[in-house]
Amino acid sequence: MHFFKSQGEGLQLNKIIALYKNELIKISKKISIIIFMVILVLSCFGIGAVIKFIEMQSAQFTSISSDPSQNQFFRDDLTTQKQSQEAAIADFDKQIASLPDTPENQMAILSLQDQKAGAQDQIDMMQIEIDKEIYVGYQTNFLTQALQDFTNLKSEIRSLKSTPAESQDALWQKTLDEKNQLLTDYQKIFDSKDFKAYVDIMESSIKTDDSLDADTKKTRTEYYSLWYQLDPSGGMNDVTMSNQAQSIAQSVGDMRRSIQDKVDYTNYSQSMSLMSPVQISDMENRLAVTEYQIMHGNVAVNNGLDMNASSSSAIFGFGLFIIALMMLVLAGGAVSQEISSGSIKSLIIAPVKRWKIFTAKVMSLLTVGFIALIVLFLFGILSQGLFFGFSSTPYVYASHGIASAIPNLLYQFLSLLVSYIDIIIYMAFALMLSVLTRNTAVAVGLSIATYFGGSIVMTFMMYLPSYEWLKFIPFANLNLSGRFFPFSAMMQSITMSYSSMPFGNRFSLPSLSFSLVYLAIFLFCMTYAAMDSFNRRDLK
Amino acid sequence: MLLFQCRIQGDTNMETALQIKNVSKSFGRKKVVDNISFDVRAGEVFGFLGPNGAGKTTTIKMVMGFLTMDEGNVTINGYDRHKNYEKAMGCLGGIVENPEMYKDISGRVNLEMYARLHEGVTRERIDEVVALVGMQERINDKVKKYSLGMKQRIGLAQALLHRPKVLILDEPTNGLDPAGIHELRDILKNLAHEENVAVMVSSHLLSEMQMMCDRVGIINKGKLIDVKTIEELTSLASGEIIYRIQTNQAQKAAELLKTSYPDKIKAMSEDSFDIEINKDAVPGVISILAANSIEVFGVARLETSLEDAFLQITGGGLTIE
Repeated sequence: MHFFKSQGEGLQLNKIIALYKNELIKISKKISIIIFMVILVLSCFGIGAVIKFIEMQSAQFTSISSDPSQNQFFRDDLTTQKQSQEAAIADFDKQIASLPDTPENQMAILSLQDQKAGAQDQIDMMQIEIDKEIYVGYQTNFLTQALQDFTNLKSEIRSLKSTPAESQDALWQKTLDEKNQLLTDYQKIFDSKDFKAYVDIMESSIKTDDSLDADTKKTRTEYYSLWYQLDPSGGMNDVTMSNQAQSIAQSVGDMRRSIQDKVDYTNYSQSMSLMSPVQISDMENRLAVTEYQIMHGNVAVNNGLDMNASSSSAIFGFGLFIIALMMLVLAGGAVSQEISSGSIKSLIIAPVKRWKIFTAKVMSLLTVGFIALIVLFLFGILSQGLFFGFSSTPYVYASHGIASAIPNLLYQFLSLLVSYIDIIIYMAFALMLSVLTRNTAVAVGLSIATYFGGSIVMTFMMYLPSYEWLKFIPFANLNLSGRFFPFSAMMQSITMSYSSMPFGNRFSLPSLSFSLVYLAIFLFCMTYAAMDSFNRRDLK
Repeated sequence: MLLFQCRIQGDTNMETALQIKNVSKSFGRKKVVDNISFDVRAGEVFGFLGPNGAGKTTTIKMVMGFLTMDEGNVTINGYDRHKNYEKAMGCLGGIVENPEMYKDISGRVNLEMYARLHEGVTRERIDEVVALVGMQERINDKVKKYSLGMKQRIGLAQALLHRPKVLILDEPTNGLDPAGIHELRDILKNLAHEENVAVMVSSHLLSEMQMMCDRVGIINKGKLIDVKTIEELTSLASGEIIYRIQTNQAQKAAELLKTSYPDKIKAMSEDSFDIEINKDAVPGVISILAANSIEVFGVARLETSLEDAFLQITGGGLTIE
C-alpha cells in the first residue's frame, strides 16, 4: 500500500475559490438578477425625482410669496372685518346711549365700554396689519406674534389704568411705565421689522419681569436667543423653518430643565414623571447631539422637512427592499434550483466535498448582496446629489453626554452595512428553506412572506405590554440600522412631532448587545442546519 | 499519446481501477442494493447489465457520491472514497442519467467551470475534448439550445476533461442516433484499450453490451448475480439453437423429423418450420429431408440465445418497477 500525503489547507482553499468563481459566473448569468439590478438603479433616480417633485409642490405653500394679488386679498378681507367691527362699535354706542345713566346700569355700561374698547383694539390691530403688511390670520412669524402681544398689552394697560386711584402706588406706576415702554418698542418693530430688536425686547422684558424665577428666566431667554440663532429672519423667509427653529429651541430648553429636575418635561402626552438614570442619560445624549448640531449650524438643514434627508431615507429604504427581494430569490433557489434542474450533478461528481460547495454558495450570495449594496450606495448618493445637492450634514451621535460626528457619506455607508445584517438573516432563512425543502417556490415564497410579516409583527408588538419573552422573537432583534444609529431620526422627530421620541417606552426593545448575540446564534443555527442537511442528504 | 493518464498517481497495481466492496443501500425499508462487490479493471469496458429497477443507477450514484452508502466502500484508483474523498473523485469521471449543465451558460464556459474544480486541465485540453466529441461548431452556444444528443456529447466531454482513470456512464446511448452510438462505442473502446481507462457502462440492452463490453456484471433485484466475460456469456448460449428451415412441404417434413427429434419442432407455417437442435445435428436433419425428397430452400440460424442466457441467469423473470 502507498501512503498519500495530504495536500493540506492550501488545496482546500483553492477548491473553495474555484467553486466561488463558478457560483459568481452562474449568478451573473441569471436574468432575474440583471432585472433586479436595473430596477435598483432606476429606483434610485425615480424616487429622487419624485421627492424633488413633491418638494417643488410643497415649496409653494411653505415659502412666503410677496404675491400682490394675495396681499390684496388679505387687505380686502381685513377691511371687511374692520367694517364689521366698526358696526359693532356703533352698536355698542347705541346700547350705551339707550341706557339711562343710573347707578343700577353702571355695571352694564362699564362692561359695554370694555367690549367697545376691545373692538377698538381689534380695529387698531387690523389697521396696523393693513398698513404694515403683517397678516396675523394668514402668516406666522415674529411680527404676527408681536402684534398679538401688542394688542394684549393694550388691554392690560387699560385694565391697569382702571385700577382705583387709592391703590395706584409706585409699583403700579413702574409697571405701567414698563408696559407703555414695551408698547412703543413694539410699534418701532412694526416699522423696522427687525427680528433682532424683537428678541432684545423679549429678553429685556423677561429680565425685568419679577414674577418669574431665575430658572424660568434663563430658559426663556435661551429660547429667544436660540430661535434667533436658528432662524435669523424670524419666520419672514420660511414659515416651516421658523416653526422648526422654535420647536427645537423649545425642546432644548425642555431637555435642559428635565435633566436638571430629573423630571421628563419633553413628553407632553404623558404625565410628568421622575426619570430613571437610563432615561436621564438618554436625554443627556439627545441634548448633546442637538447642541452639537446647533453649534455647527446643521439644525436648520437637518430638520424634518429637509428633502435631502428624506430623499436619502426613501432611496436607501426602497433600495434595501429591492436588494432584500433579490437576495431572497437568489438564496431561495440557490440549492433547490440546482437540484430540480439537475445541474447539481456536475458539482457532486467534481472532486470537492459538499461543505465546500455550500460554503462557496454562501460566499457568493454575500458577495452579490454586497455588490448590490455598493451599487445602491453609489447611485443613491448620485441621485441625491443631482436632485438636492450633495449633503455634508454629518451624523452626530453622543455617548455619556458628549457628542461626536461622522461624515455623512461614511454614515450612509455604515447605515447600509448595518441594514445588510437584517438582509443576511432573512437570506440565511431562505437558504435554509431551499436546502431543507428542495423546493424553490416554497423557499422564496415563505422567506419573502416572513420578510413582509416581520414588520407587521413588530407593529403589533409595539402595542403589547413589554413581556420579557418578547425579546426572543427574532423580529424584535432586527431593524438594526435604527438601533445602531438612534440619533438619525431624532432631529426629525423633534421637529415633526415633538411628543413622540424615538426612545418611546411603550415596548422596550432588547439591548443592542443582546440582539447581536441573539442574531449571531440564530444565524449560526440556520446555516448549520442548512449545511448539515446539504452535506448528508441523498440526491436521488 | 497518453491522453487519459490520471494526474494523481495512485496504486501502482493498475489491474483494479474501481473496486466496489460490500455496498448496500436501502430506501426506507426497501433494500435497493444488497451487498454488491465487483472490480472494474483498467483497460476494460465493463458492462453493468440489469433490467429496469435492478439497482444499476443506485449503485452508480453511490460510486459517484450522489447517495451515501449504508454499508461498504468504494475504492477509486487506489483511493478510499471514505478517507480520501477528493482524491478518489479526482480520478473519476462520468454521467448519471441525463447530463445536465447550466442552461444559460455556453458549453465552453460550462466546461471551463468544471475544469476549474480539477487540477491541471488546460485550455488546450478543453479544445481537445471538444474536438473528440465533435462539438467544435456549437461549443459557444448556450446549453439550452442543444439537442439531447449534443448534451450527451458535451456531457461526455465534461466527463473526459480531467483524464479520469475511471469513467462511469449510465445509459450512455440514450438520445444518440445510430451513428452517434457507433461513434460512442468507438470512443469508449479506444479509451479502454488504448488509454488504459477503466470504463463502466450500464444498460438494460444486452445487444449494446455485446458490442462494446469486455466483461459484464449482471444485477437483478439489487443483487449482483454474476460477472462474466462476454465470451463466457455467449458460450452459455452455445447449447441448442433454433434453426428455421424453409421448405414447400413443411407439414410432411415435420412428421418425418418427429421420430428422430421428438419435441424439437417449435413452430410451423406453410413454407417453413423451426427446430431447436444442436449445431452438430444440422447435417443429420438435412440428410433426412433430402432422403425423403423434400426440397430445402434455406436453413437460417435464428437469434443468438444470449437473451435467453440472460433470462436464465436472472432467474427468468424481469423485475419491472
